[in-house]
Amino acid sequence: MNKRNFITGIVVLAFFALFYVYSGQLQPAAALWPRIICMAGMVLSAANIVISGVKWKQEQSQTAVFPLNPGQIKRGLMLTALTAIWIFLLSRVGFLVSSMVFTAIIILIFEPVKDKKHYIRDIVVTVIFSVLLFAMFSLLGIRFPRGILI
Amino acid sequence: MKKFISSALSAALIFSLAACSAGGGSDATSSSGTSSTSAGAGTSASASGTAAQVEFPDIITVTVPFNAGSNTDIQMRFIQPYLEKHLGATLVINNAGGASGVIGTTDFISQAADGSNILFSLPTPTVYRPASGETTYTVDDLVPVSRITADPFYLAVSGENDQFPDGQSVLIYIQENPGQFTYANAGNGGIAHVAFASFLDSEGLDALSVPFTGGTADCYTAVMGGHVMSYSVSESELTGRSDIRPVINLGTKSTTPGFEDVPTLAELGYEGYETNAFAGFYYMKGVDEAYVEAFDAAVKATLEDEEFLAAAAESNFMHRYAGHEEFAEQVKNAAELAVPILEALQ
Amino acid sequence: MTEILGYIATAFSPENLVFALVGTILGIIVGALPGFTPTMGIAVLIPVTYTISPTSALVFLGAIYCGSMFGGSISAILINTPGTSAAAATAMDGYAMTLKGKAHEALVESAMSSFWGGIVSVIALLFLAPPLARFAFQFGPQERFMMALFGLTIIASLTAKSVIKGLMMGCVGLVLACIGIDPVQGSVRFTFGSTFLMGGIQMIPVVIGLFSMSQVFTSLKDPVEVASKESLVQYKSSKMTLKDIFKYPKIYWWSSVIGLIVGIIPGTGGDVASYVAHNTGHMFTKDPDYGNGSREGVAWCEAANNAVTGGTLIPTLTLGVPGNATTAVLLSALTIQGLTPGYGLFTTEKEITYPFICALFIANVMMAAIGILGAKYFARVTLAPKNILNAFVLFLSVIGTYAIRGSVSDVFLMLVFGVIGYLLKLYKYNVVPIVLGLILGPIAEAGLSQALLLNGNSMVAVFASMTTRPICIVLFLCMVISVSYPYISQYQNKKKD
Repeated sequence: MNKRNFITGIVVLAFFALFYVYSGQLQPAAALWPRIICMAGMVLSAANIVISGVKWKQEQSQTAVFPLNPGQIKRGLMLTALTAIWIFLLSRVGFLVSSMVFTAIIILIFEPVKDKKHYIRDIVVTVIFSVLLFAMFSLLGIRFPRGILI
Repeated sequence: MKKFISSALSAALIFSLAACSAGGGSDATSSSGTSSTSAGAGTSASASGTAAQVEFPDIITVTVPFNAGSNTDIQMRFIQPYLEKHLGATLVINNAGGASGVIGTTDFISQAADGSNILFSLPTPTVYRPASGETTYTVDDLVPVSRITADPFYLAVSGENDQFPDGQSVLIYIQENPGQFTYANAGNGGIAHVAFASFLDSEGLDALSVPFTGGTADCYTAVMGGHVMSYSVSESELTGRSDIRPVINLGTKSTTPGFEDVPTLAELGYEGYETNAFAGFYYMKGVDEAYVEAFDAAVKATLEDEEFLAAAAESNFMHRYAGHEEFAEQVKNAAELAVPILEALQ
Repeated sequence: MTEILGYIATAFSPENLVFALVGTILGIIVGALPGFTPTMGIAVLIPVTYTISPTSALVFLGAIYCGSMFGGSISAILINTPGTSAAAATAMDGYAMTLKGKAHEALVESAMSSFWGGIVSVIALLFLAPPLARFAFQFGPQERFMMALFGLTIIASLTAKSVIKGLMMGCVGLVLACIGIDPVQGSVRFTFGSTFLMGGIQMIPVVIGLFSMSQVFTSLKDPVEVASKESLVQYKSSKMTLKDIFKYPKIYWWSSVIGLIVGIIPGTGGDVASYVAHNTGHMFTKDPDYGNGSREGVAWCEAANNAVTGGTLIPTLTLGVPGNATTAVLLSALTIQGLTPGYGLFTTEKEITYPFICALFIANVMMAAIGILGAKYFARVTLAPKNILNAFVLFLSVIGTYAIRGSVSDVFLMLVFGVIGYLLKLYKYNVVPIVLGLILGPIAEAGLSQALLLNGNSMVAVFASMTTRPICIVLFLCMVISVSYPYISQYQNKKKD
């Protein structure tokens, strides 16, 4: 665990350092508060790094830095990529159609029972749910982007 | 099959947690930057009895660069039905708030200049923010169409305040105690700040501006609690407030009962400073002049509509129409007055 | 007395009852839908009220407000997607209860504590509004700053086991809150040249990303397995008894008081109230699961959350100072109806105001009834196959984030925070402090910078001025208790062992 704290501590420290450096370009009044926070954040992350660094060597079980197995990483990346493409297509293809298609894709990919009956069920459920939810938001006055389709 | 029904049911239930029945308003609240289609022959603007012959699209998207429920948004929603009648088109309100209106305005400028997109805004994103050079657009990227409201700004103190009975006493105090007089406003670089700061700056006077990002209500609380001495506020936000006393009119002389006796800066001996909060319509640069004329004519007809006037009187809706030439002049003057003070802030 | 009965009779007129019911239902829907805030709901429906009488209009809009505060908890409890940012605190205990198969119980508790919170605040509004309102004036820059700092001390008890990591995350939230236009100078900062960032990091995309999206990642990390018969049978709705209606009288009372006070303070709302209440509950609870699936936790959050409604209405109606964005919109509705907020509402216009307050009471009863009767059905959501449920949560996250202000960029931001939130959870970081930092950062910075301006830019003078301000001293004591309590209780527990 401490190895992981050590590494995340460095990442967060870098985050605060970036904002601290950037605040140098601001007027003093606007820079004051972010600087106080960044300073506190840097001290805290440094403390985290030191404490976990010391404990790390004493730790019995040396856990891996990344707490996921390859299958989990693959699924996580796939989900992220799918959602990113989905969002990218929202205003290009149309909100309803793209959402419907991607919801269906995600349901089907993770469908445990691989047979026709379940696939059909998944698609029907997706269509009903998407249309109802979309109608709901539209009735409440939200306008959605239209691309090539709806 | 059973499974199918059960999961269809559970899906329906997810939905039912979100929805029991749909209903309510049908006007739009927000949308993306994609412009609506301008296809289809619309009703001619001559429906409103104007001379300009121009085909408006069926749907005109009005970008309000503030959140749903903000003052400007409420104003737009108030005049919407009357304006629709005179335009012969459906107005769809697109609320795109953020960064004092800059986000919505930036988005608006990138839309099609075909008459189907129009902006309804306060001067903060159209005049003041661009004047400080922080935006990707300038004030010249917008074409003022017509003004709906012009609200003079006031410097106001608590009604219980004996130290400043009138405007003269405030000015004397500022001259005698440089930097000691405090005035709250709804954010630096915003119109409420510029209203008083531009005067102080040009006259070489010094008072302390205290920005309250929570808006006028926040400033009011600070004044009533004695945390600051005064605040800068527009007339419509003072209407009906008996616990606050306006001491200096920072805008155009008002004729509203209760405000007509407040001295303007000119009456106190300082000519050339007039700041009003004006909300109005803007097209983007490059739009056909005929659309500007026609839209302006429809707005004019709306603000003269009997039905509208009756409703406005009942709801204390203040309106001061100005046609596109007068409005453009006002925008230009406001920008010139604000530039020095905004540059000093950067 | 007859006067009061007259007001109650007006509130019970068929017309007003219908508006209260429709408003409550709409409010619950609006609240439960992520991204559709009560503010937007009321703003959109104001034009509908132009044509009806002022009393009915206010009843309708007020009922939406009450209903939405409860509605937000339904989606927070069931799918870890807070419908409103005020419900984010409820998700901590509520969703943990759902994972333990106690969704029904959590929903019932949420409805009941919401009801009691609402009732207490309505009573306060009815009898104490004018005197309480002046309390809002006492909150100057220094008090706001201390209030925000006190809120941040919640991190200490929230993350008692790893305070350093908790505070790190709190600072991350505070830094993120700095992006956009700064409250002092009005200049642009930390936008890295992007117009989108000029508007700052919005609350809803972050909350939905950190809570819902990351939950989807966690759920779908491993391949979905076919749900076994047993796991489906396991779910059963818990029996409702009369006891459930008034299970935690003390919690309802104290949590409502917290909600009421936070509501009166301008600029703070349900989100601050429910975290503060949850933190207070931490000190009194004996439940070992508190913060991790405790029914008491839900009660603390929801009672406070709903007590905020009456609290924010106090300065709104008496002073015309809206306590939060939702009441700001209600205020415009008042003005459109030709009413002027102020003491006049409680004197010359009282035949409109008092029936309105009575109707809020009715709306709260309706809300509780709908919540309790519906809980059984809402809870069945958790029976949906995992892949379908998660895909729909994802859909709701996307559509909800988009709806908040019609920005696709916000949806991308939501995804980014989903990934960040997931990774942080993997590395055992609590993400709630990020949300707290985002909520409280702007309040703290504005307060501090205003205090500095008013005290000759001297930090020493600012802190010296605080020692003469009673509210600051009280808040400081609260801070000390809040920070030290987790350690004192740990120490006491150790001594017992």
